[in-house]
Amino acid sequence: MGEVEVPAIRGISLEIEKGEFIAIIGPSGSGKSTLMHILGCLDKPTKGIFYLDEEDILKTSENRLAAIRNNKIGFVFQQFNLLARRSALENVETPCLYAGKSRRERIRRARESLAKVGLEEKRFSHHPNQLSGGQRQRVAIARNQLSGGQRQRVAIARALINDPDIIFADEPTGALDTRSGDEILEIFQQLNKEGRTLILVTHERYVAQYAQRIIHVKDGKIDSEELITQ
Amino acid sequence: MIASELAKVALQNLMINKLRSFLSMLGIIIGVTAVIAIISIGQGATEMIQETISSLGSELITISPGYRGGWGGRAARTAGGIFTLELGEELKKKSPNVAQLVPSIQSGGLLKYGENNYQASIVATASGYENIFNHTIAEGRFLIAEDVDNYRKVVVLGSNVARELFGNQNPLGKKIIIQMGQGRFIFEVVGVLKSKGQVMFFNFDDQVYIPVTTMMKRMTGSKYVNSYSAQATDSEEAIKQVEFLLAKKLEDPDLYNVTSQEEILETIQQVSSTMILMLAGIAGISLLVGGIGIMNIMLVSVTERTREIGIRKALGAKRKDILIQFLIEALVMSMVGGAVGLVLGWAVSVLVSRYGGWAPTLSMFSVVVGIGFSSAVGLVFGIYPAMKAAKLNPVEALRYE
Repeated sequence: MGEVEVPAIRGISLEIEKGEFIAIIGPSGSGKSTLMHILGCLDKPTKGIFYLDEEDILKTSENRLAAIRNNKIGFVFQQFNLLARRSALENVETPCLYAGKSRRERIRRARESLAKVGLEEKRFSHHPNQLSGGQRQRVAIARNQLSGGQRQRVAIARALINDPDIIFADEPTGALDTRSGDEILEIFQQLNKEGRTLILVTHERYVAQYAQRIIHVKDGKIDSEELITQ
Repeated sequence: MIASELAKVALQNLMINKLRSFLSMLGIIIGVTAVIAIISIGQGATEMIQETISSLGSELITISPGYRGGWGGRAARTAGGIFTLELGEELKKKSPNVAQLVPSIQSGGLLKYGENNYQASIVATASGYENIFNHTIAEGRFLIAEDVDNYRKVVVLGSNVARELFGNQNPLGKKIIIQMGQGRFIFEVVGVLKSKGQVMFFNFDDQVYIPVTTMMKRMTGSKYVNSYSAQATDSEEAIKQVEFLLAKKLEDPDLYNVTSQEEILETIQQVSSTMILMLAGIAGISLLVGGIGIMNIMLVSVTERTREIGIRKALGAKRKDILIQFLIEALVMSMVGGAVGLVLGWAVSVLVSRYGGWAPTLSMFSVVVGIGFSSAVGLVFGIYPAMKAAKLNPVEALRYE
């Protein structure tokens, strides 16, 4: 049996302004994640048009897409997606590494970024290369002892390190308790106030309420849009 | 993205799985160790053999019997009953480029002096032998023409034989018993040679020398000698002259062999380099197996780290970055394995050379082969898994559990 291509999304027409805070909401299997992957330049649509900052993404090379993901976009995932067995600082500096920044610059920016999400404590900002073997081990282990909320903050710090224009968050509170979830959402609001575009994917109405505009996705199509007035 | 940064990431990954990295390296380590050790031992041994052979004198020519028969169901055997003392005299007289020529008969026997006895090889020859083989007299004299002319029962001892039979006593003028087959013969020691050491498979120091005529007339009753050894002024010319004379005299060219020292050296060199190459080739197969081991572990690693690759791609890693990271991991494994193998192979060859008695040689060739091959193996077997990693679709990789 051959594979049958089933379009996850189709007929979507969407315009997002710079500085907006958008929530994409829909039940699982609705295509909201696929939409986010396309908007986040992780995937190219098979057909259609997608312009990001006047750049035709369908005609963009793989390398250019990687560069866009690196310096224009920051991702925050439900499962944190931190690199295993690496310290918080190492995780945060990774996008900077792919941007070709020097070690010194990376560490400086990573500490800044960690401070922005409220993780300025020493144990987060140690760079393992400056530590002895034993200490290094402890720092790496310490990462596993971080709470979910702290992990998500590390992930946000990582998303912020290259000062991106757009932040994508895919169910960022899905693995968190309500209190730390709220804290994370407040950080997002703060980032939006700084002028960054925020695109939040969720299936919880309550989470979506933090946005300015909610886009309902159902069966691969935009079902409806609503504006939130706060 | 700087390669050194990616190298750091790769190294950290290898350190996280220390045991696994080591085990995958083991194949390369063993392969390189074997290649280096074999090449180095082979070269050392060949050089030693060449040195000792050329110490015998480069213008040495050996005239030995050829092989007879060997087909139609009969086993080949050395042609006997061809070389006489007279033929030797004639060859010497009629070949202008032969300076010296002596007949010889090789045999073995038990030597006795008082309570001591020693199994030695007995060479029955004539005066001049010592010059042809570059022997030096330690005490007394070598065989002289009168010994041969008068069938004298005199013997010249190799240094080992003298030490074993006489210890610290002066052997000159002492009578020893040589037991050969059923016969017992009393000989007088007239000289002792200086030590010459092991040359290939026989030891000159274990030999004793008696007049060829004494052996033929008094001991065996044979009319023939085994071979002739000659010193040439120009070995190429001398071989031509001797072969011409022998062809006229004996007609059948299968009955004799004329070889020069240079030819023997060349043959040894050919044989040993073929052997070294063959053995190194066999050892090289383990390098290949090691490479497959690395590829295997890299493929496992790529699958295991699919999610990590997805994360890195989402964070902006280009294909090239992922490719280099995984390639460096494979290369580091194979090159560190190669370096460890180089050190181990060198250590093995030093140990073996100490035992074998030659100077250990570590040629540039074997270093280049060791390091070059192992990095080539890393590159060849690392590229496929690395490409597989680099080509992963970020969305699918992120979804991977």
